[in-house]
Amino acid sequence: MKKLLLSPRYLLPALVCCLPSVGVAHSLAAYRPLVTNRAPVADPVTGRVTDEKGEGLPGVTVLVKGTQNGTSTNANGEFTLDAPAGATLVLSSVGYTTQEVAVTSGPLTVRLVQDNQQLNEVVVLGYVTQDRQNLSSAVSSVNVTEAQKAPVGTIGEAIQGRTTGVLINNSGNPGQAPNIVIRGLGSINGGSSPLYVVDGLWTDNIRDINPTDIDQLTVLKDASSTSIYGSRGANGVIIITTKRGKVGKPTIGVTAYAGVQNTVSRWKLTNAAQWAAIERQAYTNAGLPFPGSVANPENYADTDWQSEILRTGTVQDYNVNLGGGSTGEKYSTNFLVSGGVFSQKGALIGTDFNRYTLRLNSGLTAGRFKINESVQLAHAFTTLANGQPFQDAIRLLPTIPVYNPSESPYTAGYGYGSPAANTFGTNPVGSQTIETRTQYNNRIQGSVNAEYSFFDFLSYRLNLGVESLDYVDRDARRFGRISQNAPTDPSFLTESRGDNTFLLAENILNFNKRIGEHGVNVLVGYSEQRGKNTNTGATARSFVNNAPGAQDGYVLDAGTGTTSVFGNVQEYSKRSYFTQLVYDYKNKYLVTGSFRRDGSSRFAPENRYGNFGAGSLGWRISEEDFLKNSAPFISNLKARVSYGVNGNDNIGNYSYQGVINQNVNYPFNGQDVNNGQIQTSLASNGIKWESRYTTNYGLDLGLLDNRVTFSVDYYTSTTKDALIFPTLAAALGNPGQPPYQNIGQLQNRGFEFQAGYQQNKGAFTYGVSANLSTVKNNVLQLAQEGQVIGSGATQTAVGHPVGAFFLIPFDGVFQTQDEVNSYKNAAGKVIEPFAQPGDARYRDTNGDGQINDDDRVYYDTNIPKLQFGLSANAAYRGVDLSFLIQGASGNQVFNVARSTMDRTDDPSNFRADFAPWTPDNRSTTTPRALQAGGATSDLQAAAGSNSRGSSRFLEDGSYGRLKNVTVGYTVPKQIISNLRGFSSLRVYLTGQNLITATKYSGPDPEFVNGNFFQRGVDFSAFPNLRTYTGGIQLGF
Amino acid sequence: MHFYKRTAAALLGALALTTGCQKDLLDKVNPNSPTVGTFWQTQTDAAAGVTAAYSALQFPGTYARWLHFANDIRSDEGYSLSPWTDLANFTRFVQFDYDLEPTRVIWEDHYRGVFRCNQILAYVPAIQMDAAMQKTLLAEAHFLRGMYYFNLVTHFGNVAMILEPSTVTSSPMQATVEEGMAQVVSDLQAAVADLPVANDVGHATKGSAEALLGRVYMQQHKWAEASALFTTVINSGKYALVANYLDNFTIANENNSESVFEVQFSSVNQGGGQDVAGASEGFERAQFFGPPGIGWTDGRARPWLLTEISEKTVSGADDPRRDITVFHYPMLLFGQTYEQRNVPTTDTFWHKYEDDRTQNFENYFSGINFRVIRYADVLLMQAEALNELGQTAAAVPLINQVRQRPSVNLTPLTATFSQAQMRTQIMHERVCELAGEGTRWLDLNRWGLLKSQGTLDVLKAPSHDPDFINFVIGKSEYLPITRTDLTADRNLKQNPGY
Repeated sequence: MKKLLLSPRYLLPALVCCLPSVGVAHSLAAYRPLVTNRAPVADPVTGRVTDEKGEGLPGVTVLVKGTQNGTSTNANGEFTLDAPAGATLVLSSVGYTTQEVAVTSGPLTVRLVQDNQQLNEVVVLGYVTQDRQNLSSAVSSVNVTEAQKAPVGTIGEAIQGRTTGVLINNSGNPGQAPNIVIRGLGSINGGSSPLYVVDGLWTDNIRDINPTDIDQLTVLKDASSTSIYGSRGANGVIIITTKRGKVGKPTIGVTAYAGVQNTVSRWKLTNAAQWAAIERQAYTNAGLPFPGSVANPENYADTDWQSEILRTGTVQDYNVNLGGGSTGEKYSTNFLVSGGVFSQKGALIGTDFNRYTLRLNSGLTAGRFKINESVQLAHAFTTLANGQPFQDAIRLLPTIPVYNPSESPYTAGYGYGSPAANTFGTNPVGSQTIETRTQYNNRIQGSVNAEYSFFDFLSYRLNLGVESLDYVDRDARRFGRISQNAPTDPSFLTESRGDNTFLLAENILNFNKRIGEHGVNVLVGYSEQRGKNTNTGATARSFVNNAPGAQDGYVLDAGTGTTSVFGNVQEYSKRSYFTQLVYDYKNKYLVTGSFRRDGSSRFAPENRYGNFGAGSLGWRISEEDFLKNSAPFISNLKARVSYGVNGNDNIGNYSYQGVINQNVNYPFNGQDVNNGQIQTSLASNGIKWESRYTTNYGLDLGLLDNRVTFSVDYYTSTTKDALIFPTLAAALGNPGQPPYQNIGQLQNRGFEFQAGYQQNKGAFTYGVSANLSTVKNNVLQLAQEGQVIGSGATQTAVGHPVGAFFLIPFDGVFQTQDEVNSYKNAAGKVIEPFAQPGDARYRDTNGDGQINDDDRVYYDTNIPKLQFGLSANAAYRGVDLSFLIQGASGNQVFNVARSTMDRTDDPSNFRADFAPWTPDNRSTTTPRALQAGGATSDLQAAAGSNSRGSSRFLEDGSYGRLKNVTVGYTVPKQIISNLRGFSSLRVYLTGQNLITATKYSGPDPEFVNGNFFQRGVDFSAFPNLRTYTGGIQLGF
Repeated sequence: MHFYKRTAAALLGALALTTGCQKDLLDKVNPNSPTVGTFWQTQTDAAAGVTAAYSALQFPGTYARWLHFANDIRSDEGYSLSPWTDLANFTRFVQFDYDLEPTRVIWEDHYRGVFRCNQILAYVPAIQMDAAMQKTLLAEAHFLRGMYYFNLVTHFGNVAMILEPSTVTSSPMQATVEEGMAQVVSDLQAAVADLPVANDVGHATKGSAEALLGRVYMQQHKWAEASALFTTVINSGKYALVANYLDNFTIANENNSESVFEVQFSSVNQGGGQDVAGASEGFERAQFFGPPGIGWTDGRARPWLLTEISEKTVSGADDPRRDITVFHYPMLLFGQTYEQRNVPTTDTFWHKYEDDRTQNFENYFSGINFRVIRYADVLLMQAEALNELGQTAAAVPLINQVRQRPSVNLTPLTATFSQAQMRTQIMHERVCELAGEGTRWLDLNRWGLLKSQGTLDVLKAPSHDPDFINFVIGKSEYLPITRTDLTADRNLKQNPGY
């Protein structure tokens, strides 16, 4: 072991200089300040550790208190350890309450009690850790063990429905990270994604973190917990701590699962004959002749486009880990090596996601010095969906064949419509096969955390973090046509590669001492962050090999046509000074405070620095004698309040500087390109920090030894100087994204409830946990008086939530000509003079006697009013069962797919139950079928009017979903111990997204829309997947 | 205890290493582009800026694509059967979405050009550079801004008027049609004054500005002012009709003697995006108007053009301009028959500016330059101006020049015309010579054919252009101003009727 002692001196500088990855502020409690006592003479102590049912608990860490001398229990829960008489042993294991026992003569038997609701866990709060019971902030810990039951690629998907205040939207798209919003949309254009801190590394990306490696996940929600993250804390913080090796005999764990996946649902659509029947109504009503496939669908194809693009996908996940640690009088070490493979074959043809991860976590404690390291290498390979396959699948007519060998002269051989079957949709089979887009990522996320204790109450800590991404994005598109409306560009290959590097260094001086009844923890710190992204790419065109899906010959050298290159560099940096205080009096009265001053390169020098801070107060009423005496069944009662401010600089780089575009070119002689340069987009002059102020009130209650827990929070947050893109008049000549300005204000308010019950005594154990969150989002101010931000079916304006729907109200269908003629405004003007019975009626909200954009009104229903989760688990004699129900309610969804299919003026497929108004079927909700370009102007106007994207396509988006059901069987230890080498074995079956209850007509009420303002708009999103898997967990 | 001391020292070393106290840590200069503050210093900068102002002529909303829908397809010369119903409706005067791409992009892209001109006019005067060059560059910016605003006023009427470089807080006022036209005239007068008679290929010349200003005056019925400008252009001796009519619409003979101003396109770059290296400099009209199997056929030629362009040449042949203007049965469509392409024989398509003379396909990268003003147009406009000024007889020889271009060679007009007869004759001549070249929309307006129900009833005849059944007087003359601008800028009001 001497050798081990020697190596660290070389190891540390090597880590600092060569491996720029760094450490984390995580569970410091596991490494209490060291006191290098000289230990008295030791004798062997033996003992056995059991769970509440008396079964031996393997892998429990047994330490002689105050030393690093320890071991861990074997498969039967037994241990042997040299410990001096009179010493105290500390027994700890994840999921169990840590116990201390005095060494007595004779074997010890210790029964560990399961940790109820992790009340005694240690929570990372910025740069300090705190016992959960002393927490006065709004912080949620997620039950990671339960979350890991979800057969999904990212932890973000897995924690959905398991905590309050976190809105998560998933999709079935392989490799797509979910949308995660903590406590409402806190920024308009500054981004609303939380900050992730993985073992101390600040990052935006946790898609590539292997969920199996995660030990703890904590969500920081209020300002008192997040303001120490300053300019990155405004949208909440998710702290992830990965697993580490435990002192004792090395263990090997193997887990594996595999299963099948299908989209949860799909549209029921008309076939060719049904489709043509409705189209004939549309053409007849418009007085127009039938196109070929409308007249005679039997002579054309009958394609079920959804079946053509969907398939049964597969998911597979394999993990192996090796962990362990050793301990001696002056040192202890731990290590964990974990390798994982996650592989998904998408339910959409041509998509997949494969990820390989390798994690190496290790640590050394030697006297006053301690170092922990954590690093993951991830290699991910994604094949992306192209275009809008789910929208095209409903848009393409059934009378169009998937393949059309006679298609000419663009000989890719796909069917895509013709005058006989006229559509501007794209053949979705074609789009998935003629083009191949892949992303190849190599990502390192790591950290090193080194600490030296000058005294047991004063330590210096250095955190270094690094994230490095190397990527290659390829887009190979073969020559050929897949739409009537896409240019027959030459085949091309675009290859874009680059590296993004982020470095973080934090220096922290920490004072932590209990002085009588006063617990004081104060720290000061200084930090720098740097990032640099470089990108290089090229496009080559006109490749010889044009077979769909062809990869051969798709290298840049093989292009025979024109080429182009691109590349750029982005740099940013941040400098921060911070301090944090945690104080308690008698563990009863709790105070925290924090302050951070951040400087960011993203702002002009005069606005570069911002100050952020927060404070909180807590009162553990249950520690008061009057309550202890009067209500002994109350095991925990705590009231807390917090207030603070944090910031957001998530606005891209250099945006305060106006730049000259150097490629504004023009070919003056009609051939050679002359270079031109000029400013083509406006600068974000004068921008400064966006600040979010949050007030939080909370109450925690625990009853009957915390078997019953209840917690409630109310928060209100106001974002000031919000960085927004004010919608600029196009007349200013700024194309695309407008520049930023600090002119918005928005507010989020909400309640969060969490309740749980856990019964761990006896052979039958069970627990229930429920959570419910509400959120109300409201814009208080935008750029100018009357300013709005319009985006598709939505408009963001003062007094409404971000991205509120803004639509003309649909008011039914005219049943008679009299109704048309008598539908007048106050001045007696007939509002829809062109209409006939069967045409749509809209509300003339401004009373001007006509229907147009000015009649649009707000529908503030784009964000779920509440979301909920209910999970339960039970176990009996080795059989375990758990389920999660999750959902959202009180919102509407604008259904783009239905608005496409239900318009009869423009060709698309129809819903199978689509029944437009006819004299015999007097629908009050669906206007008559009417093709555009009709014989009279009235018919043309009516066709246009009927097709408006009005409130007709707003639907109730509430849903409840049986998200996860897992049933498992753990083979009893007695049997396992007979199998040489095995220490544990569990097999299980899991179903994900099994049942959905909703009124929504689209395939899935839960969807991802990447457009910030259109989160309530379902643009034929990739539906979630129903997954069935079987798995095995093996311990050696 | 050496170990601990060394580790402590190493930690302190690491502290120094990681917090180098770099003073300028937060000063990040954009390495990708120069900034506005460092540009506009040299003659090279000024010239590059002007090139950029020309570059805006190639946007989809300017001359690459959508403007031709607004000019040609909305006019009675063209129509659309696009499967994109909203696009077809747009050409039929039916529009519900005011942010619909064609109208929105025409508005946006012209203002992107205006922004560039405004920068040149604001910054170039302060540059120390060759005075003559400076004068020319500023005059080119005036010319281009006048042209951008002329198109805007033509199609949107009451436009936002912005004449300074925009900033994020700019809030332009809305100008009436009269105010808008006054600005156009003022810019073009400045261009006429300072542009050289001869300039580098592709650049505006004094003749370009005079002809365009003349066209503007024509729209205002300022016949004398227009005529005076056309006289200068004609007498400059710089322009002549090309012998071969076809040379006006192909890549072969660009920037020729007949070209008064043309927008330059090139197929040399085929990259995506705008204003990035390698981005397309191509003309997209051929793809959008191309016959089935070749292009989108989103814009078609009305069949009445065939009967209008049906005079015989001196030798008794059909007017050759007909087949150059319109594809019709039994012409070959890019080398194949109507039957081979499975196209109804009654269908007619635009042939002008198609690339079938040099290739058997279309894409978004046609290299054919678009002739904004041809000398033939100048001659016909002068004929019209003179007729309106009562000099009807003087119009005849101008028209005959156009009719007797060697490759056209119709019989010359010899009859004596009344002023009204001459108006009718000029209407006919302009269709035969200029159909599909973006002048018809101006003509219809200038001739007042969109102002009365009587003339509209003629236009909307089933055999002519039934799309005009949807034309609403007082509304459909102009496109709706985009919703985005109305919501962003409270100074702007929607056009009447929308």
